Amino acid sequence: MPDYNLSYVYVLAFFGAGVGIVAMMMMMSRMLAPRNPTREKLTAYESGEEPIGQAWGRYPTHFYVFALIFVVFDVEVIFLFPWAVLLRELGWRGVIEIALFLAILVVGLYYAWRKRALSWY
Amino acid sequence: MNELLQTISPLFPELVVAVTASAVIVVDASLPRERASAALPVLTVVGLLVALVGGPAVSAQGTYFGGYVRVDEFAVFFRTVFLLLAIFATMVAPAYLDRKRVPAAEYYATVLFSTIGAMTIALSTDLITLFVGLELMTIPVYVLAGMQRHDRFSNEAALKYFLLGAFSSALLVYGFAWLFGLSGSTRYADIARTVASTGMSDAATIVALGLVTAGLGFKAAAVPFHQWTPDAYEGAPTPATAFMSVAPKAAAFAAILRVLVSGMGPLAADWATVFALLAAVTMSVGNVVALVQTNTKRMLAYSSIAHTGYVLAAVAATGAGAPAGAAVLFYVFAYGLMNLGAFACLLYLDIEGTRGATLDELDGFARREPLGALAFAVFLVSLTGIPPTIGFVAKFFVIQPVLDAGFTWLAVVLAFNAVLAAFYYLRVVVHMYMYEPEGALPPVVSPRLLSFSLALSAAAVVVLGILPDSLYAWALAAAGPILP
Amino acid sequence: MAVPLGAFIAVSAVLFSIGIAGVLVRRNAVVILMCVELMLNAANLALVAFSRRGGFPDERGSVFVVFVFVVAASEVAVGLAIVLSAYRNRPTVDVDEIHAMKG
Repeated sequence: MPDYNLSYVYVLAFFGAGVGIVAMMMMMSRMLAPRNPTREKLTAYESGEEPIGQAWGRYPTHFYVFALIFVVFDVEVIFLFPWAVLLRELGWRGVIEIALFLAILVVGLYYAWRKRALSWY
Repeated sequence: MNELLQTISPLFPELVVAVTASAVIVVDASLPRERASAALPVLTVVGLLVALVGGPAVSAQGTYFGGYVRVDEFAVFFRTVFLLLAIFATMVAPAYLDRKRVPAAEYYATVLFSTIGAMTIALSTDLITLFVGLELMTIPVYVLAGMQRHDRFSNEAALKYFLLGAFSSALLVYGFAWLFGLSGSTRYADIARTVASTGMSDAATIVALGLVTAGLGFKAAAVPFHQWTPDAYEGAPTPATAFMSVAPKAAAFAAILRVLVSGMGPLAADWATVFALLAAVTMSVGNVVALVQTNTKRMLAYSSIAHTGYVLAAVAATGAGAPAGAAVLFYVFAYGLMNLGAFACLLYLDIEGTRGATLDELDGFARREPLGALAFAVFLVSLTGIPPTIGFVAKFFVIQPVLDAGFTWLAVVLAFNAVLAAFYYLRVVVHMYMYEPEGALPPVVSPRLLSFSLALSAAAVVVLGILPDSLYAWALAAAGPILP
Repeated sequence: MAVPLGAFIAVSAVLFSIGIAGVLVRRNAVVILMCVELMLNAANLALVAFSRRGGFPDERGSVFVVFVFVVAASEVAVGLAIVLSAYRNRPTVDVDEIHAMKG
């Protein structure tokens, strides 16, 4: 068996061990632990705040805008990897092309910045 | 540097539009609001005009970028259509955007980006280019639909358009994956060679063909893939509706011609019948449902489905050769002009939200806004297909190849539908000209730029209806690379 | 120990079917979006499999996948923004409850 297939066996072994240990611990706690449920113990947060209302409450959407901008820029990086690998073959033309590509992204970033999408307030 | 300029010059129009879109964004983010809102439409139209005029001069025909892009007469024709539509959509919008407090820069920039995508579709020689173009065209249009983001109807339009659009893109990509698997290539030419040798015997070919047809059917709003259309068109801000009812549809037909005719052409005998059926169902459903609408915006949405049916009939007739391709191109051009104009005429009435005028609200419109009513009447007569308008000529050019390809029944269905459509189009004209304005009607606003652009396009509808020869000759030349 | 092409294609077909079923059955806009992503990934898997193990191996399949990734990311960004702005005006993401327009 070639080496790289062997490495999958390691991963599988880790995976099996992980599942096995968790299953064993859950079984042990089920068998050994005393069970005596009371009303307080069954609440979502024992001796904490009771949750009120539904989960669809209001939440600050600011985090969302950050996440969105991050996702878009993060994924665009995928184009930089093939370019970096072929940097020498592509030469100056490659550099100029990737600069144009990044310039378009920078325009988007500039717009987000000026429209205060990047500030906390 | 010289070498670089030479490399990018074939894409001159696309690059100019991209630079314009970036400039719109930068200007809006840098200048104070009042100065920006005056400068933006001018900047947008100037950029589009430079692309329109400079394109044929700078961008030489040929195959570029490792064969992923080809500039031919077909691409040049569609470029012109998309640029004209974008100019038109920009010129009708400013007053509405101002009134509804829609961020104007985002409207112009999304229209520009969408236009680049549409032009890329027409340039494509390869599934990858096509896919990127298609998405670059569609994703900005989702944004356009939802641009009035405090309006519930606009939200709903955007959400429905987005979910079904994304779904159809996924169908399409999966179909493309199978086409790639079959032929080992993403080039239309290679795919055509492969399917010519395998034929329909392979189950994979049928799966791929079905998925691609469904995906593009969604984009063109063909029945039974049309359910998103009325809601998306009705709820979107009216200038956005005007743009999204024409540009994406024209682009969808560019894609259909490129993939199905160039790429799957050898199987045309098999898919032509399916397309003829789709065409008949699409035009009939669109027209019948449009008959019972009382809201003009929704009525025009269903009518746009019916027009998809007419163009699909021409696509089904590709067996008749170049005239069928020319009919598609000519109809797409005519439809773009008259349908964008018809939606834009609704901008004369100041109505809350994104709602379009009901028939009763158009009572006596001819007296309240004579020029707007005249333009609206011209567009509606043209959509009906009555001479001397471009709509009549376009239908005429469709019928001939349909007969030549042997679909006599389809030609009959088409003629019957044209009569049916006359009822609801002309009803609007009757309301505008014959009825007295009564009760509380929405106020009329008449921005000069809107009147100017509508007068221009209504004149074009009539002039090209009387003298269609040079445009038809161009459409015939443009169909050459697809259907020799 | 090469995995045959058929296995990849089978997995991709299953993924694609799950995606379609999800789009048709689920009513939550965000879940529908996730199912669409599943369909796109099914296509990606098929493209990569065809480009490495297909009858006519060709690197363009892998190139296609890169573009599908990027498009999917932009689609998600726009789609979530649309869901969010709809939710702000009317707190539901159930597409059956979003039906102001009829006819």
